[in-house]
Amino acid sequence: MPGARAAGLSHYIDHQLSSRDNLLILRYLRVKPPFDGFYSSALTAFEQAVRKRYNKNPGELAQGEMSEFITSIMQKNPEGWAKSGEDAPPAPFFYFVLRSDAIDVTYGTMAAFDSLDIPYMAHIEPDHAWESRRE
Amino acid sequence: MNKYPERTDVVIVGSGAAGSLMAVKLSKSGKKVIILEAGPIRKPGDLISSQIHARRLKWSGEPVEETGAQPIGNVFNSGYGTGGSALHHYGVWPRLHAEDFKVKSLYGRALDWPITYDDLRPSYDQIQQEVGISGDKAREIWRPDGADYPLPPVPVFQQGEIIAGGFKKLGKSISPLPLALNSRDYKDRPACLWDGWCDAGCPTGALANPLALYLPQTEKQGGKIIHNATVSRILTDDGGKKAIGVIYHADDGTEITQMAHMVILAAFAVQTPRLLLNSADGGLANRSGLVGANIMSHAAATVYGLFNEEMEPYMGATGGQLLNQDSYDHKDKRTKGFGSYQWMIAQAVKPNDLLGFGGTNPALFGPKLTEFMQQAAQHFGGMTGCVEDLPVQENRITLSSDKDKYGIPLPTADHASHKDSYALWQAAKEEGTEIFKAAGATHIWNGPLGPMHIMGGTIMGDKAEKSVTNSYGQCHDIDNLFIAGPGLFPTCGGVNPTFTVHALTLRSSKYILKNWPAIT
Ligand SMILES: Cc1cc2nc3c(=O)[nH]c(=O)nc-3n(C[C@H](O)[C@H](O)[C@H](O)COP(=O)(O)OP(=O)(O)OC[C@H]3O[C@@H](n4cnc5c(N)ncnc54)[C@H](O)[C@@H]3O)c2cc1C
Ligand code: SF4
Repeated sequence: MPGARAAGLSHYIDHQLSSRDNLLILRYLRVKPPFDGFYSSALTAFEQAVRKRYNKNPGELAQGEMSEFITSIMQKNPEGWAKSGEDAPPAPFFYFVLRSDAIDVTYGTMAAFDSLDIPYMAHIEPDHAWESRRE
Repeated sequence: MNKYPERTDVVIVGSGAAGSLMAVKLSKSGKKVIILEAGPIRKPGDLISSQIHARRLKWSGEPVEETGAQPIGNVFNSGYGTGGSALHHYGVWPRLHAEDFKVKSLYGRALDWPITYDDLRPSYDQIQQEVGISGDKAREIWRPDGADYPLPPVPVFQQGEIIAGGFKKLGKSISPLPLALNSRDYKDRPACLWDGWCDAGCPTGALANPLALYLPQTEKQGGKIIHNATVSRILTDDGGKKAIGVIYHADDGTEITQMAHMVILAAFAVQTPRLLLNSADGGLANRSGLVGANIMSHAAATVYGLFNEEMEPYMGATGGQLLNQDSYDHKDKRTKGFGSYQWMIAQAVKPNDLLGFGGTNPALFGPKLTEFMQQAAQHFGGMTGCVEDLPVQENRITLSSDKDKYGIPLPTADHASHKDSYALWQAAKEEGTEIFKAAGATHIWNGPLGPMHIMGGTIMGDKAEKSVTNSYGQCHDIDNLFIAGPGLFPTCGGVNPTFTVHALTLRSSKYILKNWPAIT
């Protein structure tokens, strides 16, 4: 998603995974903690499925190829997914989770509200968009 | 290490909607009350306005295994810590209708309640006055009789006005949404600021949550709340006929036995049956075999749209602005399925999180998503149908073979919608889509069936063989063991449950006080 990398998506996920007070959306979605395995197995499956289809690493895909691949994982596991990571979550579910994480970091902050012209109107402002105060 | 503090009059498990109300009423009459709350202490200052930080308020006790075609969404639908789910609930407080109490007698299906609307009406009226509900009884044409709302209705912003146009065009009615939040200052609590942060917990006291209402009062009256205290077992005397206390685990693992003259379970619809099932072979108070059975969750029928107009979708309360209950009474007269539903119209919405507009259309990604986010920020509109879920005995909480850190079996929640409830959910989506067309939406889409609220699992009834408690939440098998909360509902209607939870709890508290010597 445009902006997600700059907004620190991978730092956000790493931070939450290592935090006592994990705030990832995955909490809602009937996945048993700990969640590290969810992301690592899905990323492995993602890479292997991309390699199987394009003979490239995900970072080497052209924008059109990436879009095509993402569209292909929305409904079902792409070829190579199940075999590559037997414990990996279903591809459409992983897509949903990662997309939601990306929306969290890109649009869930005070600065992002401002950029969308949405008044934040906080009662209590977060010290940080997503890092816990208590750590 | 074991500890045995002094015996108390009443031990209440859970500090949410039901537990806090029970505690305030019993402590006011001089009973020594201890609330045991599994989650941490929360204060108004912890309620940070952020949809990411808000997740801290959700259930984070031991996991609940969920199975079935339409799982109940325990983490999203439950809270943990001071005030329970009620701390971050949205305050949509309609009443059940008279029909809801006698579905079996009227239609020969589902179940009857052991009471009628008229039995509960005085309690609805009293709670409404204590808590302060904003609404307009005259315009809420579907509402069963009772006192006028003590507060004027909540304001309607752009989003509400535009969607209301669709209802009007199709000849449907709308009224202000009855909300347990202050449209103006009420008693010592301030008016709402219409900023839509209710899901993160309202720290000002504008919304009637346990922190704003009953918990501080309970403490003033000498009641005590112990946090990080997870109850694992209810203790009974040798004959198993009387509750004598509970065992709970403190954060440091210490096992504490709290003796009490009365035990009240207000641990919500999943953990209360779990506790009963774990407290005796075959389950405590389970002569009927129904502890855990008939778990229900309203099906959320979501309708989303983009409009040409400026919608100000960020304005208002998270619960919404307007109500329609045209598809409520005469449960057998729906286009599809059976039951009742209502529309909660024009909820204040943020960009992110499960209910944020960014999550409503998962097929969008990349530049299309960016474009959508920019457009939706000003032009998004939405409404949610709260669709009745008929009770099904097989939808139930059972104990898993997996155990928590204290060695107690985890609960498994199995839930699949009744086929007529599923059909009704489809009918609601179709109707909602027509309404959005009439309102002038340029794009319309729906979300999947989302579970909303959790009810049932320890249902009340007249007969001990067919229910777990009587109409006061008193267990048929054990006189001094009570249950409070939406777990008592034999059917759930198509309205949000918490006003009814309050009315039932108030009624039970009066019964307990009146019959104290005989019960204990
Ligand atoms: C996001 C959200 C929005 C909602 N919006 C609305 C709305 O607009 N209108 C409406 O009517 N309803 C709404 N609800 C539902 C409402 O919150 C519940 O119906 C209500 O809080 C139930 O009250 P309760 O006391 O039974 O449970 P809760 O309020 O959940 O309290 C139960 C407490 O018991 C504690 N507990 C559990 N197990 C144990 C144990 N073993 N030992 C000790 N403590 C334990 C929990 O930690 C929790 O604090 C909403 C719920 C959510 C999650
Ligand atoms: S919108 Fe009103 S009730 Fe909701 S958090 Fe803000 S002030 Fe509180």
